[in-house]
Amino acid sequence: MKWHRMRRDLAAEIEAHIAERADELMEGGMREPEARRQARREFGNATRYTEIGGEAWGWPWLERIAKDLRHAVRALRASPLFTVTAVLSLALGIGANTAVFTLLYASLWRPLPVPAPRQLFQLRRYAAEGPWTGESSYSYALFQQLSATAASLGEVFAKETFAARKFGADGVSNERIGGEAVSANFFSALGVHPFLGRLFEPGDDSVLGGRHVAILSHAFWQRRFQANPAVLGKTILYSETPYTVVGVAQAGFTGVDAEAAIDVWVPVTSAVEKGWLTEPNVQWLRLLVRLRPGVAPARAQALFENTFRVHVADKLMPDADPHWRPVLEAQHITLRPAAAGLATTGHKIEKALLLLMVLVAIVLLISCANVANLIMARNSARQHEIAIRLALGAGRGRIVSQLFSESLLLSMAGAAAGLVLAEWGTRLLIALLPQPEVPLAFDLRPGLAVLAFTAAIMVATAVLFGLAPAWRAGRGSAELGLRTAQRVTRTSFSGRLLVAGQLALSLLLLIGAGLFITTLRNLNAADLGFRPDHVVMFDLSFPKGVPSRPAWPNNSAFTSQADRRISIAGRTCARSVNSVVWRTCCAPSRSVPRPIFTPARFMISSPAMARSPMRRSLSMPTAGKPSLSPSSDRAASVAMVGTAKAPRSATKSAVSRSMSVACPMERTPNAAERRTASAGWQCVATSEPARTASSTAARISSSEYWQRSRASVGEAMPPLAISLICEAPRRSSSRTARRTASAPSAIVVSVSMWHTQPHWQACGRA
Amino acid sequence: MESGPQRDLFPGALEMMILQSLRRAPLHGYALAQLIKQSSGDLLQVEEGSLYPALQRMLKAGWVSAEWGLSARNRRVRIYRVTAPGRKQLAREVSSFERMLDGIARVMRPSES
Repeated sequence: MKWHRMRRDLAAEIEAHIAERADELMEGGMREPEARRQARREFGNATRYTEIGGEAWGWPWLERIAKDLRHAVRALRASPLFTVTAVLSLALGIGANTAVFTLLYASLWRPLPVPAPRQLFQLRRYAAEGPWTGESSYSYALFQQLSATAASLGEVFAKETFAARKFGADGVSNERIGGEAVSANFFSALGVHPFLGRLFEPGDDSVLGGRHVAILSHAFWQRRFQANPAVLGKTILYSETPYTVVGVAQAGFTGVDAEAAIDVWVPVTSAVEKGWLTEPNVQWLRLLVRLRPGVAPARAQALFENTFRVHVADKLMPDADPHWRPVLEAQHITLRPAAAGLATTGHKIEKALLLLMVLVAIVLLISCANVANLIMARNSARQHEIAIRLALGAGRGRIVSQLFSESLLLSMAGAAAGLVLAEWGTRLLIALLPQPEVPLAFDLRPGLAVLAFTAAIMVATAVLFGLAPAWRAGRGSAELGLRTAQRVTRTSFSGRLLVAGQLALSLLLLIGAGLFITTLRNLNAADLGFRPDHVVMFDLSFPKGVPSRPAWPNNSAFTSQADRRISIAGRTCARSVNSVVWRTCCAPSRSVPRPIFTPARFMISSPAMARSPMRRSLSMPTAGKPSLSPSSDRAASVAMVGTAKAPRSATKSAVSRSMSVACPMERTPNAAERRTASAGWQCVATSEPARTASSTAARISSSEYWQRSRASVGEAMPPLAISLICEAPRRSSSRTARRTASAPSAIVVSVSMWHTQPHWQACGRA
Repeated sequence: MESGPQRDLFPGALEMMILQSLRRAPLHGYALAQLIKQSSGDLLQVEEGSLYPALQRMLKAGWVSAEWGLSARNRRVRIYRVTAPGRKQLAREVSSFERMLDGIARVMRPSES
């Protein structure tokens, strides 16, 4: 390196200069040591001149930084206790911030891997108030009308509400995957390219029975098919229906839900019965639109709203229950930006996360104050060292920059450790979130945005905790520092201010954390209405060629068979229950007080579901009739409804009222059947206070248990593949535990065989 | 960078004096310092060391060149000589210096102007 040689030359030259002068002085009769001293005095600060001269070469600023960093490393290594304390303190602060940011980014902000994501919007059915919070579902008919409306503005595309699906590749579908039915223009409108084969084409979702073709996600193709290109043309089972694989989607694309990774897509018309495509009351699609460049969202929204109003007036209103009408009236179509996808979970947890962000920012501030305090104490202990450096000719800027680079180094180490902590933190946060049926699968890879965020807070913290102490240290005078050999122990004003600020922040944090923990505890200890521990949920899967349930004389014969067959090692009791767990929200009932249904999720249990052993096993306290008997109650069309957050009085008052069951209508193909179904149900019991079994089932089903064990039920029955979904010994709240201490603790809940059965049988309709 | 010893000189003065001294004959650092000291009659308070940063800057700018040689006392030293750009620079600096002197002189003795 040229500058390095130049510098060596300069040093040699300066030494020669001094030697020449000393020689000359000695020639003048001076003694050698005297002459050398004199020569040096005349020359001035040789080290400094060497440095300044050398700076003409190379990049002095870069070199100064390198020098500072080297020095900082040495200084920090000399005091490991201080370093470890400071780094840990910072790692906690930075890690917590990064964790919350990662989740915020993954759930709300990470743009979809498609071109121009800002043109994407979700069509929401939004009501400013009212019991129907709305999951923004649309019927297929409405989708087609809105598509026609939007022809000039952009392209509307549809996807099914995401759920777990059964999947199989070799004749038995006993795997669970994330799958969804989408409109044929789903991929083309998004701008997703095929990785292999083709994606959906216009004909694939024709109303007259869509083609049974399937697209795999790139990740699923790699995971499940070992990236074998021969998968094209292979027949797979999706929801127990054969499909032909025609393509693999572009790498990295896993659907438009931030929280879900889709494995398989099928055309929207191929996955359902005909009624779903024609019946305006079957609301099952989510809609998105890609607006053409330059189209104002407001204009599109107005057009959509027009179409929607016409549809409501023509198709929905005439048939609607009186209590349902105001809900329909209150709904409007709004466009929500969907550059990051639907972000359903993200929007739900946004407020909580932002609050958490504030809390962890306070944590970071406290760590900064902490470290600043440590550094100031250290700097006052180092005053002697600093004074010597000042006396040796170091500029104040150099002192400040040197001390600051120590801070920067500390915060860099803190950030690095913080990134590791953040990974755990994010997982912990996700574990605390309400788990839907399909496990949350956020994309948590630390992308550029997260790293940039961490780097930014790293620099910010270094400035926060490092600059003030460095500045203070640089201001001290050399003489004072040298003269006062004893340590300066006077507490400075800024030091006191820091401590006071730290106390104040800690108090604030304590209050905030207290509130947050209370909320969290309430969330987790919410009474489910039954004991969730030791509850196992399983699902029945019918291999191809096996006669499905209708072949059995009736449901109870089937279930009693299943009851007898299914047993789980070490558990004595296994109760199979026929129930339909309705996941979609329901309209408030005509005669049942409103609060009962406001949570928008409840369960209609069939009489079978409410049979006493089942209820006892679940430790489900009820108001009203303690149990339903399969025979008599079925005839009378009675139901037990699970309620959530309903006040006790309201729950009690619901008993014996008649109610209409709005939810099953949506899934019922024809309107006549629907009316008979909804009329004349009488509520004989309410489980109380109860969150619903469906949400609990969802909570306790976690992916790691999927496919953990499978058992065959035996020979007398058709060979049923039973996937044990979950066994989750969950801590129940002390309140529930006390009340239900004597209850048996094992139960098997079977969720209805949705796709294989006419669900009315499962529901136990009269 | 140019704090302390050079405070008394205007910027560029040292470089100008160095170029002027080297124009007569190539010199090594110590001899250069002695020459400037003597020719200024010890009027200028210049620390000897401050020559070196200036020389480095001039080397980089290409106004002087340097090569290793031997001093009168047989010591290995670097000998500097003026280059063609150095000469041009000297001419520029001298003319601007003279203009400056002239201006200052007029301010100091306004009656003569």
